[in-house]
Amino acid sequence: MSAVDGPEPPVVQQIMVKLVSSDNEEFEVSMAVAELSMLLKNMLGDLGETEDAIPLPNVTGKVLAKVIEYCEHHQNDPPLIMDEYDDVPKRADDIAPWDEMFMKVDQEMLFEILLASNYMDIKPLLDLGCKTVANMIRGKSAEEIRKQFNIVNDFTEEELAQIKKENEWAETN
Amino acid sequence: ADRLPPCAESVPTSVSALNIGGEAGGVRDGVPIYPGGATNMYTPTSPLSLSQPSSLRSFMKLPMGQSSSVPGTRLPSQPPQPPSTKSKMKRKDSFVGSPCRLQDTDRSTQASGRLDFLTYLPYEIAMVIVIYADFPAITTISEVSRSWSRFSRDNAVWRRLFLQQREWRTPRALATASWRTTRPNRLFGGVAGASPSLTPHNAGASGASTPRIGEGELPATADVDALLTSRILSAYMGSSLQPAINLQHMVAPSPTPSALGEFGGIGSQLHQRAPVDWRYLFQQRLELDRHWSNGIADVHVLTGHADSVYCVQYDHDKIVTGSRDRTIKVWDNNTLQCLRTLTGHDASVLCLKYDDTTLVTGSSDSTVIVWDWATSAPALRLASHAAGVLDVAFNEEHIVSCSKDCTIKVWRRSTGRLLRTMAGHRGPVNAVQLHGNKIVSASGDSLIKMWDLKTGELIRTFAGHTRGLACVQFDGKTIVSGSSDQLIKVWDAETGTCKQTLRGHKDLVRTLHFDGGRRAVSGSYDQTVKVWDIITGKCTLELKDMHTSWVFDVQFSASKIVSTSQDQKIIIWDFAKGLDVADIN
Repeated sequence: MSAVDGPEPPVVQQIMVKLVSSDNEEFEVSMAVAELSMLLKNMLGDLGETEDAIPLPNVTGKVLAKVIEYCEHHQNDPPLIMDEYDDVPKRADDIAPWDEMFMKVDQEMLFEILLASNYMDIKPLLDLGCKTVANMIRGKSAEEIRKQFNIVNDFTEEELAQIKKENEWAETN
Repeated sequence: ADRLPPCAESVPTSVSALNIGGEAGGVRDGVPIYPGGATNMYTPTSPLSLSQPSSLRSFMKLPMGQSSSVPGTRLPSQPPQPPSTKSKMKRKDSFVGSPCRLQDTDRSTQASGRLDFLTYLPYEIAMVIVIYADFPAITTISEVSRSWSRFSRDNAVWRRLFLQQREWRTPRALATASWRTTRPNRLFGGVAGASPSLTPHNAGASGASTPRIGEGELPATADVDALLTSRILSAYMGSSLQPAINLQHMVAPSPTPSALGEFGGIGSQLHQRAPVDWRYLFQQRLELDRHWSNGIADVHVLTGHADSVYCVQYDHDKIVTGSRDRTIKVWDNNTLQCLRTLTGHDASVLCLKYDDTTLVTGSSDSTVIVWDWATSAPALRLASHAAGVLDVAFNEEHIVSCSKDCTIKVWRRSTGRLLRTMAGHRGPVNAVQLHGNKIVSASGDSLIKMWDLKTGELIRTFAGHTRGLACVQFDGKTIVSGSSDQLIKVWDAETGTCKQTLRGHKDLVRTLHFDGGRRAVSGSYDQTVKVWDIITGKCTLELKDMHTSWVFDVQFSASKIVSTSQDQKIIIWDFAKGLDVADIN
């Protein structure tokens, strides 16, 4: 950086942002961390610098802590590279080791992380959550999937037979 | 038809203590907890754009006190309803509903620790999960429950599944198309007779939203063109095309007299113009893969050259071949008729490459001829090699040629001026490729060399083959080479390491085509053409007993292989046999 002759030397000050969860738990994070959330980024852009805590009425403290943990780890990531067709996601089998560990949570927490990242608009985290669930589905039979996610088969026999018939073309030979 | 998904009814109610009774739910201290209310719960949201001002505002207006009641207070709410197609696109700001959903699912969670993600997540998120799960998981997903089966009925899901199949290399035109003009295909009448699934799945459902060309109106110009194309295609395919099953999308021949004159009598070749049906396209494209795996192809033989056919290149419209009979022939790729014969070389035409404007050929007469397609006449003759020109490559500015004289020469494309000569190989240079500023050459000295186009400097040498090389391909990252040692090797162009060795040919590997995917096709003096997966190193298909002598050249595309041989034949292997893949290629 070039020398600055202004009245004050430039000080890179860590601007902190206060977030409040639905259960009134307060968190303080750096602007850089908060801005991984497009929701917060836009809000902060609208509000300017504020001392006020930002309410996140859809996220509990427990989940928000987890989300913040993710954002702090990823705050220096380069922006997400979009693919050739911008709405086509990359494949699910490229999860980084840290992210995989981070996602070793129970299904309820995983579900809430998905909702929170959707609400807070943190695309990489939403993507990671989606990949994690996709990996729980892939390679399993319908019955295994039902067990995995506690789902009752609500098809009639005829309906299921019809669907299986419609799927015949896809069977690998 | 809409039934409730299982969760709300079937979950054991061991958590009833938390379920503060009351039907309406979502109310505490007399204040609705979420402005969206429970009815929004299953309306799909647009998750990646949640910074929408509307939803944001509704949150911001919400005083803290009203919303702080979520955790621990599991309020019963209405049973989940799968989204109806009608409501799907209406609400965009319905994110506000999702926290309510949390409460519902928490009931089941606490019973089992497991919950039905795809039913309770906002539709758009669930859809991303389904797409990550990929094919063929989508078919299993459709068999899990009613709620899960909706994804496989969603065209948007199939589009994204289709586009993420990288090996399919979907043309951008198709990827972004909303309409598709297809030809009816034989599958409907024949093979598919056994399997109703091969009919477009949205035939009924999408009818309401399908614009139709009214009776008495002329079909749009595009459709007229398509009709004519269809006639040509049908003639060439030698099949009587079946009427499309998807009657709703048919463009009927105009009943007006003038149009009847033109279109009368082709009622059996009606054309459909329909919204792109991605599930159907997926089926067709998958079937094409299976044709490749199983060798299901229409085989056409072009005869006309009076001697060995050394080289070939083709595109959608034409096939261009060069022969020992000293001529170049241009064939119509639809009618398979020979359109033109170009003469100019004084000896065998050994190699050729063309683009939209220009054809470049090399010959045993030691010269390169640059032809102008517009006139079919030689525009330039490049004469500097001391022996036969064995291969050529070119880009916008340069032409590269290699020769039996052991050199590679770089020429200015526009003027034909010789820019530089690269010597270094100790044997005839049999093949040359050009990608960006890099030239890759393969020689009888058993080496591959990489050169800088602009400076002529040698960048790297790839050693590993034990006998002379006959052919090489290069896509910028990977080099594939074929040799007299009967092997094909796959090299990392950056590091120079050999990544894979493909074994199977029983004689010299004379020709290769590779264009950056997993697939490579080779032709050998053992008279076979083989298809390879260069990642696994496995031969996936062997085409034999068709050529009766050495195979000299091959090229492939998504649905075809064209090969040429010393037996004077040009063989087209068309794997699209019976499939509707014209615009998928």
